[in-house]
Amino acid sequence: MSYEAVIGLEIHVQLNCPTKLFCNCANVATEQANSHICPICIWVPGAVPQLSESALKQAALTCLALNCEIQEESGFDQKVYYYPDLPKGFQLSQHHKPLSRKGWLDITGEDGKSRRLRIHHIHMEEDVAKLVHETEGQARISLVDFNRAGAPLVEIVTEPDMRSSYEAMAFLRAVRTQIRYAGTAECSMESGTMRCDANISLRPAGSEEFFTKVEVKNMNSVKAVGSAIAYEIERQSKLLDEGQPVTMHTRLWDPEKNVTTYMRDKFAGPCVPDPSVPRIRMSKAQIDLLAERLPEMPSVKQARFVEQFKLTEEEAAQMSAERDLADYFETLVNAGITPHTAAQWMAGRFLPVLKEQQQEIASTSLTPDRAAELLSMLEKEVINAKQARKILLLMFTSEKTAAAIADEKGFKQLTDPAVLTAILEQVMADQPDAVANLRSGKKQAASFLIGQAMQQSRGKANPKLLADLLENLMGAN
Amino acid sequence: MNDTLFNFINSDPAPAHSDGPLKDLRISLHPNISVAKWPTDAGSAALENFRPLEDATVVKRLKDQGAQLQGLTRMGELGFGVASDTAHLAISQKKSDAALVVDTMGEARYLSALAGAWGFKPSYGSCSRLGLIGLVPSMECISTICTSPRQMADIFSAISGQDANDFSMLWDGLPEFGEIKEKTGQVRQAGIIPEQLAELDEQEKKAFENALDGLTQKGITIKECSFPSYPLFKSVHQTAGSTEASSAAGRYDSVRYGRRAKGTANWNDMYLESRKEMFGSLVKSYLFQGAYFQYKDYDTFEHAARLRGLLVKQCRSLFKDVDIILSPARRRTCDALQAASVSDVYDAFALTLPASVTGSPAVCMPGRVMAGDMDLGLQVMGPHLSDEMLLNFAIEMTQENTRN
Repeated sequence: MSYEAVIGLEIHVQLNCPTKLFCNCANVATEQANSHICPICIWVPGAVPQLSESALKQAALTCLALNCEIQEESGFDQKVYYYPDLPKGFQLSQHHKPLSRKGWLDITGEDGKSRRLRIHHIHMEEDVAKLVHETEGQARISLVDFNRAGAPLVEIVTEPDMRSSYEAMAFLRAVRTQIRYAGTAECSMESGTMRCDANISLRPAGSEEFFTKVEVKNMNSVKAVGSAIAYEIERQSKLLDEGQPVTMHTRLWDPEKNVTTYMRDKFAGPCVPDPSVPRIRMSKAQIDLLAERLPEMPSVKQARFVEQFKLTEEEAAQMSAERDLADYFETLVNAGITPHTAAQWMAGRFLPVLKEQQQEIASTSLTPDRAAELLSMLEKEVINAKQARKILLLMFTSEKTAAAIADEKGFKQLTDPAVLTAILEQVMADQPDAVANLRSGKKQAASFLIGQAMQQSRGKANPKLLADLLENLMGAN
Repeated sequence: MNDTLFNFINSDPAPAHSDGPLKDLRISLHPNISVAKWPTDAGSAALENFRPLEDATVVKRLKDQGAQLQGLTRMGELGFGVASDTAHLAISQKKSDAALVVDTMGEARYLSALAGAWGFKPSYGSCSRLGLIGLVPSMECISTICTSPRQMADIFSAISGQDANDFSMLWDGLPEFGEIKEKTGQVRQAGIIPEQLAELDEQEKKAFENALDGLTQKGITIKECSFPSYPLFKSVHQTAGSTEASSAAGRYDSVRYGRRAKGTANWNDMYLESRKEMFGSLVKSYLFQGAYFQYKDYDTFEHAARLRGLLVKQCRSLFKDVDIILSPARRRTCDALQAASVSDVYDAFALTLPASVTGSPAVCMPGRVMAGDMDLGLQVMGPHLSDEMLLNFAIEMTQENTRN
């Protein structure tokens, strides 16, 4: 039987905020356990939560970046569960009155078509403490580190709109891009500032019903989310084919064995409004004021890059994928580099090297001004592509300009027609077969001859000029 | 150190600032109001060995004003009911001049009637709850039992007002207790609720009518204000209160404080067994009721929350016609000290629940509603934030022949 997957995601994002959600403790990751704690975040009896205004604003900005409607009134509930990472027996979360509802993001599906995926709501909540399990002699012990307790989170709950692991991964990446643009969170699944649980159910293709869903946790990369979903679709299909029931429960993704395993029955604790946290009311004027803090978002920027710089859709999408990347690109263009060249160079040359060098685009030693000089030399054919590649690598390890490196390495491009003609004549004399092939119309023989000439020039010749000269020489003979 | 009245006696009650307005005032506290390092156990094994890191805001303010903090009296477990409470005895036996207690269903008013003293519960949101180890956060107010109404004003002048660390307080419109000028004539019309009085027995009715006569002689007009929703106060308080309590008491897990069951195999068992052992049967039944609404019937909790809103509105409209609402503070026949079941507790506090549900201020005046030699207390409830008016009225009533 053929099934259709119905997938919804719950994405936790840790907000960039100087303090925790309900106290003034620093919201930073620290090695020293329990170094950023106070009576509020360890929940000593008698403590009263103090909602952070900056966390609220970061959360609201995140909602706006994901096209959600901020609710006129929202509030916190006590979400009950008993576990040592939560000493007050409940987590402060917005269950009944979330901060925002009804958002969406567009993704490009596997078929290349755009799809709008809906967000059901986004709510704020506090993070819980971290448990560290150790052994002391024979005894297993668990230690609690409260540095993370009370860190401000938002949880993004989607509608069950995704139909494949591909779409889920595309959605996660889109969420990450939007939030990074807004600058409200780092959104790294690897470092845990973004965590994603997936709810997956299957139904006969074409059916509108919702079947029993299974929740999968513990994926620490976008790719792992895709793999876990793909595995779960496979597993559930098998169950259904064999006539076995799918039961509602939570499973853990095992990244080493690439399987999901049973974790626990699905548990949803009760939620009662917390009278100690004031209700949140945001006026339209306050929301509008916040919205002004949002930068030009990726989809708008992408359209502008196509319109203003005549980039292809694909190039524009690539160049607008990250805010820092887009800024870098625009700096190059403003320095006079042809947009197409800048985009091609960034995607094909610069980004892979950046990754190799383990540098971030916002803080790389190869600033866009220095890169612009390099690209300008390339565009003016002072150097060729091969030389540019070598200079690029050297620019990461030194502070010298591209021109200085080119001088030092003797990387000036050979453009003297007399010298190039002499090289070509020598190559044609050495390769009579290739010349004959070229004469008989085999175009690839020309590439071979130019390649030989490039080698003779030790990579310094201007390949375009070589091609022109070769054509002349062939015509002359 | 302890004795029959006090769970903990402060060996050095002399304050650092001894010339403040509360100089020489001896104050005892319920053991659910935090004083740094004191054994603040809220009358429960759930908080065994718990010692607060910091003073509650109200405690800081009392110390700053020169009050002598004598120690901690005994109280009903976690503040549910007053069984084994001794705050009133500290007053009636003249061991303390005032007691600071937490009023969630009427405890301060009930206990002051028992002590033949003055009781005052302020408007909800006017006094910081930072450091209050509570059970029903949306109802509980730090309140007082005093020997005179002037003292109530002095104490609240010291402890109420904006606390930048308690975000749940009201932002503005807070009562200015310091401004109490013993103004007279603010209260002219007093209301009585026939639905409430219908529950009283003949002796209670008679005692209350005598008190009303006394007020009429002082120039107060008494008016009947029908309140058909009155019977809802009890079920609304019980549903919302028990649900909040069940959630709030989730923190008592025996991990860092509280009695821990011995010999459990893992932490889940430790939670279960410890929670079985740490709560007394009365609190346990209350928490079970709340857990039922939390886990099985949340709709009923929401319904109660909506009805509570409605009661607040209806109460507000009653106050369009009258300045205050009068009733006895307690029943003759329901002894809260002996209450053994949740319904016993609610029966004992039936008359004081409306002010707790609506967050209204209320004063309990001694010596006016006398059933034989039993003081039932005259409860004077005012509209939300009418605290100054109520205290002025209380002061006025202690002065003879102020009006004709």
